[in-house]
Amino acid sequence: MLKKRLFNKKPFAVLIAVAIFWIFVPFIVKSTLRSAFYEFQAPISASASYVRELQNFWAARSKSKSELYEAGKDLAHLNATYELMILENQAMREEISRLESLLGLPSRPEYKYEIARVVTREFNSWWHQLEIRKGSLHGIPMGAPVVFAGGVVGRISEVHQYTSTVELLSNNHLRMAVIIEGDNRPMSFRGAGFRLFRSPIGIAQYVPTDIAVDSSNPPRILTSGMGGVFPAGLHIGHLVSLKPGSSGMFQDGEIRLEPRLSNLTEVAVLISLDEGTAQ
Amino acid sequence: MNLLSRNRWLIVAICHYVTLFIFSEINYHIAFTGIYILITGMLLTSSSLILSPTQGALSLVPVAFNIDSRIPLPFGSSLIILVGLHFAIALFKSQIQRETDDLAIVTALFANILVHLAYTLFSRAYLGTNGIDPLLISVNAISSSLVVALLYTLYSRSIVDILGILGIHVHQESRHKR
Repeated sequence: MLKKRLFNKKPFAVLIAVAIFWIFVPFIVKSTLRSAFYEFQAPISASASYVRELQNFWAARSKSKSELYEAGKDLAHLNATYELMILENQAMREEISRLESLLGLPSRPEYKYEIARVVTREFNSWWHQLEIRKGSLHGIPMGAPVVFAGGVVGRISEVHQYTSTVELLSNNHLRMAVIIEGDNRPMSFRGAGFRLFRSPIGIAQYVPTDIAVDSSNPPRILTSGMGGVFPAGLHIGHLVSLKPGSSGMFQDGEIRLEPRLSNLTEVAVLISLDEGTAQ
Repeated sequence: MNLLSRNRWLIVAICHYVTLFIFSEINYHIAFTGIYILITGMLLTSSSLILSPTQGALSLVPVAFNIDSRIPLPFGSSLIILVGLHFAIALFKSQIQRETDDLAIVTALFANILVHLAYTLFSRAYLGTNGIDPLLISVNAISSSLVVALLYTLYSRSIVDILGILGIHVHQESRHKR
């Protein structure tokens, strides 16, 4: 009986031995295995994203002609507005380059936009990330900023062949320098996760003591452009509350991020043109 | 023992893959609520209770690698968590006289909570303590436990049925062993 029991425990000893062996496996083997497993299952998640698109297509096909006509009319209005805005932007760009040459200022970094569909959203208790359907084959560089119509989404944390992983703004490991609109003093920003059934949040540190929050018109937080990753002036969120910081010289504040961050279906990756030409 | 029976872990691993895929889609759609359903405990318990210790571990290895390839923790974290818990459940299984559905559900729930705890400890160690919200972790653990409690019996029976279709009669084998 005792012999039989000891024999039954043999597989457990094997499992423990495998676990110990795994700890000593070289890093290069682990990273190759990780990459291989990721690339192996990537088409499955990507296919789910294509199926969702097909679903949307058929949902749109089921709309009536009058609904489509109304949507077309709205789009025509939007197109007219955007055309005007393009003309305005062109005039402003010319004005900026004229002033830059007059004042001898260095030119601003130029970016191209790579639009990508969201494949998976992983917003759990420990990390927040998105998987997008563009990778190294589409020229996505590591660490590139990711934006959408509502401002900053995050930055690229991993690049694979056909897909990339985006570290979200609400992720607590993402930090950057930010400013309050109309105030040039830099502050520190870090993600602070999700409030259940509410929008994602962030934390602002080193907020000057003279800054106050008006709940009816909360101050807008923008990227500062420092650090060279995110271009200056991109929308982050609104500062909703302030409390005295631990040092006593500054304040800490809560930033309400864009609620649409948790519903994203399409994002744009900013690829620096300088980086592109260097490559 | 035929080839299919010897490689039954592969069939179970494929079932786990499909389940993970379905739940990643569910999590995609419920992301706006801040709730995340983690069903790793359910997969782990079904492997541990349906298969032998070695076959169960083999079925969990590809699942653990699949999870590990997508998370920001060091590669192998899920492998250590799943294989370790599988070992504990298999040891527990060897000590009990009679397996019941209720006991299996309790084991699955307990395993799921331990998986939450293990991920929290790993992210604390590798990603830092900032942003770890105990309330959110508790709500997610409760939501996941609810899903596991509702689905575990159905899931494990489905696996047994799939194995049965392929000619592997798990319950008959365990009766013969006794």
